[in-house]
Parts: sequence; structure tokens; C-alpha cells
Amino acid sequence: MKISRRGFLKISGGVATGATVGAFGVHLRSSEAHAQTLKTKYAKESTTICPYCAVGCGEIVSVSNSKVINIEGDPDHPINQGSLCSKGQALAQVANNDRRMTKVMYRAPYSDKWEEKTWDWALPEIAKRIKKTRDEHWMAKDSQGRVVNRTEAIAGLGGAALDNEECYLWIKLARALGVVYIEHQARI
Amino acid sequence: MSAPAESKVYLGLCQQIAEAKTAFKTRHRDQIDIPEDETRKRAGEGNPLLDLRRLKTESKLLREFFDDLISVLKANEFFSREEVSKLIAGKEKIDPVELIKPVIDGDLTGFKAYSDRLGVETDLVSFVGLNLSQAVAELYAEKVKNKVDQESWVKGNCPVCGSHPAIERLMRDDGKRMLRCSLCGTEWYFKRIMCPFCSNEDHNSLRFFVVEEEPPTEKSAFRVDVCDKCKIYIKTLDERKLPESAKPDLYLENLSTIYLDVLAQKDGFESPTYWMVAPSESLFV
Repeated sequence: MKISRRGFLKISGGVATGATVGAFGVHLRSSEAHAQTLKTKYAKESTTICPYCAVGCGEIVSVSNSKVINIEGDPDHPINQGSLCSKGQALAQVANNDRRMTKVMYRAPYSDKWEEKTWDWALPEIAKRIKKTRDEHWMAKDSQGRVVNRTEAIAGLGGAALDNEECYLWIKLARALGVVYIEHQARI
Repeated sequence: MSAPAESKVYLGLCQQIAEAKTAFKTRHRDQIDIPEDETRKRAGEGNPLLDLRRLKTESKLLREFFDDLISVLKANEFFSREEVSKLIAGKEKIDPVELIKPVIDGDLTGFKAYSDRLGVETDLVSFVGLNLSQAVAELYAEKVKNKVDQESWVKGNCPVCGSHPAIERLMRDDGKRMLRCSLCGTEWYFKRIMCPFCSNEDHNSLRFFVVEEEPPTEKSAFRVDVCDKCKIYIKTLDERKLPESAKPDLYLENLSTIYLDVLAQKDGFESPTYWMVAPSESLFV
């Protein structure tokens, strides 16, 4: 839809249309003086889908100076038509939250303290422990002698916050490990 | 914010005109007859429901509201007494249909030409012409606006008369965007992330600004939406930021927030107010 500019008319008698003389000029000048004392702040809005559950509500995110300043339900979204659950309403807290984890924190078994660790330590450690648990509990055959090649000692929990590609990778990994307890949390 | 003295006089004038319009509409509400066939045909063709050229046939109604306007202008000091007296002196010569022609035909120069002929300042003549057109357009719009199919009209111009919005609001309950027509006052739904003037939907070139005021004032519920593509802005009242009891009149709110227009224009954006679409022109190319 492209609107023809030719058909538009700007009426000079209207307010704030650049009139500088006569009665409107006076009105405009007083507003100009007031405007000079004010500071403005710009923001942008874009749409997103709530990451929490499988309903997939639409939200509008407002960003100013690269910071999320507001998140609200998208009234034009056919699913939620502007409304949100309390969790979706609090979505901005995912972006702005001083309690959000930014480093790897580790609490050893039976310890009462959290320790800061590096990713270089954490990733091999996770792999090592998965391997250990899997090896210790590997089941090649079930009680009736049928080949099953699985482990019942590990469970996988996916989430509605994962996108298609992440879910694909996650399920590939779980199947390759022989994990059979595969679940998701889309049950708000 | 306390309005500067001159603004108070202007707002007072507009308030009185708004009251005169309401009284005028109440008097004539039942006399307007728009054939059902006509609106149905226009809707079917994807056009606004009202053919604005109809307004030119209402010389009696226009004359009556012209007289109402004159009495308001006389009682108010916004326009100089001298200019208003000139208008009154030439009253019998003035054809109210001529006064609304520039709006209906989309020819701005008409105001200048007519005011020169009358020997009255152009500001006053165009102000009267615009208010006359608005009063009769509102009267007509009341008759047809319930026939608007809100679901299928996703356009930036008015579904009733085809004009552009002057101002908009985000509704209290669900944040839906409602545009308000600059001519007939009709309100209609519009998409939140889209420019009503050029249909731009790229969120990277749509922005808004707010005025940072500490403490917040009654005008802090306003923001100004701008489009970096067509460089036009529109003022938005976010009703969710108003107290429950507030019942804002968008027509008057528009006039009492001129400082926002000044701020937007300072940043290089143009006013949408009173940009009209001439009905003889094709709206979309």
C-alpha cells in the first residue's frame, strides 16, 4: 500500500504547521519556549514470541539505548491479543536482572558453598560425569534378553524456551546417549 | 506543566468550538440521510464509506454552523477583534460552501484566494473553513461509523472519510492502537508496529520518543511515534499511563500538546495534522 502524496493537503490554518505570524504564531511561540526546556528519549519497538511455554504469545519489546525498557503483550497478535500470563509479563526480568547468572557456579557434592568456575573446567567435567554415569548404568539387554542399548540413570528435560533447532540437537544427543526418559516442561 | 497564557486563550476557543459542535450535531443528528446502497457499494470497492463531496451540498447546515462559529469567535480573544469584525461585516457575501471547498477538493491555495477576495487574514479563514468541514463531516460520520468493518480495514486513512489521523491512543485495556481522524473524528484500529502514513512495517525505522519529566506530569502519558522512512510523526496518548478516572478528549489533548509537535519538528519530522486526502484522487497508487 503506497499512498499518493499528490492528494494530500496541509492546511495552513491548522496548529503547529509552521505558521509564524498572526494568532497561531503566538500560540506556537509559547509552545516553542516550553519545548526548549524539555529533554526527549527515543525508543524502538519490535515484536517477539514469549519463550516460556508452547502457547507462543506475541509480545512487544521496547528498547532504548540498547536496554530493554518495557515488554508488553502484542494486541495485534492473534493468539493472546495483548494479554499475558504473569510469567510472560515478567519477561523483561530475563534481560534486566542483577541476579541473573553470568558465570559458571559450582557446588560440589556435600558442600555448602558455591565456587566460581570457568567454562573450560565445566564443559569437560559435565562430559566426564555423563560418560561415567552412562558407563556405570549401561543396559545392553533387558531382563528378557532383548537388545535395548540404553541407560535409565539419565533423564533429559527439554523446554518450551528451546527453538526447533535446539530441540533437534538436544533430542539427537539424548538418543545417541541412550537416554529414554525424555520429557519437556511445557505445562504451565 | 502550566499552559502559557496565549495557549490558554487558544484552548479556551477550541473548547468552546467543541461544545458548539456537540450542540450542532445533537440538533441535526436525525436529519442526515445517507443511502445504505451508497455506503455498501463504497465499502465493497474498498473505499471510505463517505463521499466527502456530499458535504458541499449542505449549504444550509454549513451556514448555520458558520453563524455558531462567528459567535464563538466574537466572544473569544484569540483572533484579533478587527479580523473577526471583517468576517462578520462580510457575512452575507460569504458562501460557506466556498469555505469548505479547499478541504474537500484538496486545494490549499483555495483558502488564500478566498481570504484575499474577502480581505480577511488567511489564518482566520482557513480556521473557520476547517472547523466548518469538521463539524459537518462529524455529523455525517456519526451516521455511518457503525458500518465500518474494523477487521478488514487495516489502513492508515480513515475508513469513514479517507482523511489522515491527527492523533492516536493506546487503549487502556489491551494496548490496542486507535487512530483518530483529523477531519471526521472517527476512531479505528491500526497495527502497533506500522506507519499509518507510508505503511512501513520495518521496526528498525519506526521509533517513538517520550519527554523525560521528573516528576511525571499529566502529559507524561504522551509519546510521539515517528517514521524514519516518510519522516512523519504522530502523537500517541498511552491511556494505560493515565489514572483510571481520566477521560481524555483526544481533540483537545492534541491542541494542548503543541510542544510535542515542536520537539518532533525540531528533529526533522513533519506534522500529520490536517493532511487530507482529496476524494477525487486515487488513495493508493
